[in-house]
Amino acid sequence: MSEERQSGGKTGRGRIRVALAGNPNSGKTTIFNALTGARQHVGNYPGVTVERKEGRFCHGDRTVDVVDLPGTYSLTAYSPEEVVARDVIIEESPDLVVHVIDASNLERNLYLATQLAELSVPLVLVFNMTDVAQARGYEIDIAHLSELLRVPIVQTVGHRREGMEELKQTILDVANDPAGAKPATVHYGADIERELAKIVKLLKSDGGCPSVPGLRWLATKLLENDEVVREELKKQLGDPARVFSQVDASRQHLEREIGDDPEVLIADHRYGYISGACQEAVRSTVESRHTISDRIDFVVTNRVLGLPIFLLMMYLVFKLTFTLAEAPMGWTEALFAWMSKTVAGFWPAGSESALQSMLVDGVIGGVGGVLVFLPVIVLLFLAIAILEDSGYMARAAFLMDRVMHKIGLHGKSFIPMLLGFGCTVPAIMATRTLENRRDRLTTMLVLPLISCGARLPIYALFIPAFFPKRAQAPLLWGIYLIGIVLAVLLAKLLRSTLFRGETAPFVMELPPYRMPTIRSTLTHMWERAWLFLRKAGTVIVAFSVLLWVLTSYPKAPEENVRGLDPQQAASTELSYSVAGRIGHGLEPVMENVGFDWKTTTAMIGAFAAKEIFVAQLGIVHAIGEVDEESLPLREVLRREYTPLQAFCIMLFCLISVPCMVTIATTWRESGSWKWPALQLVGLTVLAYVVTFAVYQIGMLL
Amino acid sequence: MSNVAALSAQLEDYLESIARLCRESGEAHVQEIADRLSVHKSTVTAALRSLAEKGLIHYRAYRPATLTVTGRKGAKEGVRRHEVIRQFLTDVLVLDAETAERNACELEHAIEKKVLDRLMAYADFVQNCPRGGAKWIHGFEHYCREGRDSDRCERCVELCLEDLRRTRRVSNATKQGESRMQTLDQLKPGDRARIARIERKGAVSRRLLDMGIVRGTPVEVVKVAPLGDPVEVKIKGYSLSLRKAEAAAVTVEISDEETS
Ligand SMILES: Nc1nc2c(ncn2[C@@H]2O[C@H](COP(=O)(O)OP(=O)(O)O)[C@@H](O)[C@H]2O)c(=O)[nH]1
Repeated sequence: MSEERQSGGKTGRGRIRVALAGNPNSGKTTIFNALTGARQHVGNYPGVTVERKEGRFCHGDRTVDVVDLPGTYSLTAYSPEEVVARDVIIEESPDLVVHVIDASNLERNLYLATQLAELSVPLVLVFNMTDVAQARGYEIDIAHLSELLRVPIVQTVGHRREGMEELKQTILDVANDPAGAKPATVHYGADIERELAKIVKLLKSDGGCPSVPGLRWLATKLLENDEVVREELKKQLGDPARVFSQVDASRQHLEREIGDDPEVLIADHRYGYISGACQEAVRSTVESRHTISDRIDFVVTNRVLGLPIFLLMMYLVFKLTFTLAEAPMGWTEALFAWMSKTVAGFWPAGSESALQSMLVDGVIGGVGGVLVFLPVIVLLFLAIAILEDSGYMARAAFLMDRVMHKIGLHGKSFIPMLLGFGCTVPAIMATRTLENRRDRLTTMLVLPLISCGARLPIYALFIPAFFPKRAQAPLLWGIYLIGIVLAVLLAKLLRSTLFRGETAPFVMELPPYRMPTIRSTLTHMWERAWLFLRKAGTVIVAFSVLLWVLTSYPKAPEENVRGLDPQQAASTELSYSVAGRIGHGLEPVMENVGFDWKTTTAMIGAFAAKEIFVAQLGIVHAIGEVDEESLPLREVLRREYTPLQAFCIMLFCLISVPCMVTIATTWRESGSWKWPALQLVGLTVLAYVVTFAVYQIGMLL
Repeated sequence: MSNVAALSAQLEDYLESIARLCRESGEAHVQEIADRLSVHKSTVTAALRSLAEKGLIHYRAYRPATLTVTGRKGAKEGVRRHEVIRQFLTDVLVLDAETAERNACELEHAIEKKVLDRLMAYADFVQNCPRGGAKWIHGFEHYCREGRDSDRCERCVELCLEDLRRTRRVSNATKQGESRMQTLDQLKPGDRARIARIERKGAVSRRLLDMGIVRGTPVEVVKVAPLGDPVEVKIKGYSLSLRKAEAAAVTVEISDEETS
């Protein structure tokens, strides 16, 4: 494969393969979209939850494949993103790497370029955001800088698509004549160079090294003590011990001679090299110390105003999403109700066809169940996209880190937790902003404890039915509070057991505020919504059909339902089905926490979505289709259960068994079945234990 | 000393290799020497015998070799010569490490002490004279590649003067003892300083380095979060947030120039 590619590149016929690298917030996605248009493919890198985006464009007579590397600041082994980025360059050996640089923040962005240069692949630098750089008064002598770094430089303004043709042409030129883009590498000073030469010599004589990234790169990584490279070489070298003893000796020697860790020294030299080059080629014409962004920040993260503004923003996000989502949710429900009716109309009235029931209740019900979520999800993603693109997301993390750090999480966990009060599904998808895998999984696993909007109908049914008016509001707050407290405790527990280890550093860029562009916001929103539909949707439909089977089969014998009114017939049917039988079977266990077979059966049905619990209760109690305002149902409930039981039912619903959409989303986002399984089992056990304690103690009182 | 001076170029190379191996592990095995010089083991044995006869090393068959006192002196001199020449080739003539190493091996046997001393003095002069320095050498590298380019001369001289003034100021400030060391977390919003040192602390320090917290970089504390923990600093023209615990790993130097 790679041979084919290389020979293709040389003859000028085959496809050109380009990898797009760059810092986060440099406008990389914008450039990628401008280059490839709609022809994209989004996937995942195997084994890690890092997104892989590929696209393609044609220019002249050549086709160019572009792979978008994850946005990184460096190519160390700091995060999975960084490891993925360099693995792609090393293993897939693209014909060239295009490095997108925020020209208004040149020095830090060029740091990645010095490392890309060492991988000895042809390099093209894209100076994006030249409009911002100009506004800030930077004058960059592109010709001179290009000469110093020995790479072609193209200037662009991403969101206006300026400079794209030139970029495409440069990519082609470099692919045809890679010799013109052999970037200059940093000279690390006599002492380090001497040690590097020693290691290179040993690596060369060993012969077992991979040839692609070049021995100098490997030697540098070894001196920097890069664990990943070291592990890899341990497998490949003929005599790793010999090389490693030289590496260790060199590291010690440098520490002794220069008095600093080689990693520090190497970074010093890289930044030194860059600031030398910038001093020669960049002039700052305006002495502006406070940009507009600084002034906005002065207000928004102000000591006094910061938190109120933050809370107001969050309130607005919520209010807007849920108010705006109401109407489309209604339409979706109406649409599916109409579809059910139409499909049911294909069969003659009164006939009980299994196929009809499966289509109507299983498939259409299932798809409808997924699509009903879509408006909320899309709108929440829109809100997230705006928060992210404008630069406020990083500030939110900055404001809340103190609190989140206390429970062992990261400032960035706060927003997902907050979204959890709306719907757990987009909240889980929002954990993507967390770079550290341990933080991300912890947040995902505890998220279902944050009481979502779909559980509100359950409380709305039970609380007024059992409790006096003045106790109602505090009780509702209490239930939410219990969820939060449990989430905090569980997060602490997970961080000290399964996900033990150093907390992720909070060394984070606070990007300048930007006006989000409509195009990029809509693209971000659409990408996520589509991902949710495609990946989780199929699983959810399958589960819906399964749940339909469980609640409809086996059918009750004819004589049992004969002569009953339809509501009682439905109740008998449910009692007779697999779900009903499981409900009956679990009764002895569930009795200890205040459940009878009816509530247990309703719980099983509620796995599809929490709000279904209410409807299912209506069916088992032979009242028919009901909602949470139903007075007859409250009447029946009051007859059959004690207030303590009612509280325990609510508690159990709060803690246990997240809905299947949550499970499916956790599966997609964590990349393995292990985590949703743990979530399902763990939370159910937790629910049982907590409710058991409450019920038993309550009974004694 | 006389017996060292009389050594052939090859034997001198052997002596140096043995000296380096001895420094690394206390003794030099025949195999290691052969590897280092890329020669066969039998050749090494012959050379070792000849060095032993001259009283420069202790050597018995099948045993590792060690240096005698005379040998150590001779080797030191040889190594020094080698290093001086190599450094001159890499640091002043900006040749690549490999070419420099190869030629240093040849030159060290041919060059007279007087010339060597002059080379050393010249390297020192070029690197430290304000009209020379790293930038000047960098310019030479550019010249080697691209030929003469007089358009930038003025700008270059300007930069050179700027640099000189800056170093003067800094060294004056240091001389008067006006700079203070502190850790970054102790600074108040509005304080400015220069990064002096980073304590190694796993992932955190790696991240700090990657984000541009390197020695000599100016840094300004912008604000502390309302709840009192992460702080925001400005560095290399952008905003960075970090927890106080992380900032404590960074030592900074505050000089009067910065606070004024
Ligand atoms: N002013 C300006 N904004 C840009 C430019 N390129 C991209 N942006 C904006 O910068 C923001 C972040 O861009 P994005 O492509 O998402 O960055 P990424 O994180 O590197 O993928 C978006 O709101 C873009 O519209 C540019 O050249 N100039």
